[in-house]
Amino acid sequence: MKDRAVLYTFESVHQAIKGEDVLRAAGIACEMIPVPREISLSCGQGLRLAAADAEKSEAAWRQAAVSWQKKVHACRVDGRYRYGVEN
Amino acid sequence: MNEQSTLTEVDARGLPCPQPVFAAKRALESLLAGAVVIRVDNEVAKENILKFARANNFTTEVTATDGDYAITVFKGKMPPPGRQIRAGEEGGEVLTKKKPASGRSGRDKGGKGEADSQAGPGTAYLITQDMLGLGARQLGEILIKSMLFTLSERDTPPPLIVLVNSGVNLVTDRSPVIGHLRRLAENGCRILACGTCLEYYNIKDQLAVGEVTNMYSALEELEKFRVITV
Repeated sequence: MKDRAVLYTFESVHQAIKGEDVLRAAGIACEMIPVPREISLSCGQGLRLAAADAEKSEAAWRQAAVSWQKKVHACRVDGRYRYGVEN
Repeated sequence: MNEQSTLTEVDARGLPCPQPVFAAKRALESLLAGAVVIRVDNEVAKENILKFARANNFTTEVTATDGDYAITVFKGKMPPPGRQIRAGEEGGEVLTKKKPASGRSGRDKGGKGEADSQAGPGTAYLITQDMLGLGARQLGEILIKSMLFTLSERDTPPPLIVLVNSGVNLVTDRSPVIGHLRRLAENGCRILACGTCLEYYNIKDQLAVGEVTNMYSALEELEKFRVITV
């Protein structure tokens, strides 16, 4: 079974940190990773989480006024995430 | 200088690592020229002494008997009587192990990373703290995570990561980057954590990835590569 994930980018590292804090408080697992070059050339940090948690996370961020920029679908193949893949 | 050859014997059997190397070092330091025979009872001690000899450009000769090794280390211009290996000489590989072509530690599991297109010996990383850069700790922790994640995602991982001082916090089971380090290790990256540092921070029992090393081995391993210090 493939791991479906989503990667969110943010307009600043501060928003990404806040986004991670909000998810942690809500008990949603996520991982902060550097946004891959093929997604954005900015030196930003993104949050990757299970696709199943996407909706919950977006709701939690909305409530906490965390704004994310881009949402990229990802899927894990052979231990490595590929981005821009539809779930 | 005394032209007469001097032969000193050191019995390092039963001594724990790294004492045999220290004993060999002491004996050789007290000698202007001549030979020291060091007796050890295990392969690791033998290899460590050979590494030490190679690093110092000493010639060596090894004889094995009943699981014990007698390593004769020649200092100065004294040719060994029999079979000889010129330590440190061009192409002179003291160790019996094959040297991997890419300069890696030979721990690859195969597959991933085998097709190393990079020329040269590769780049090793010396991590001296549990964050990347000076400044805000929160940002430093994000950046070290980001760096190790990026390295772990590569087709060819770095051959070596040495962690010293608070950098050793990264190899414990509570480390936020333990997954990245495990992945690096699985893909053939050798991870060495400073034993003194683990002991200092009282986390020696929490080592979750890699091996404990001492300064001798850490420096010898780092000297094989270009090193980026963070």
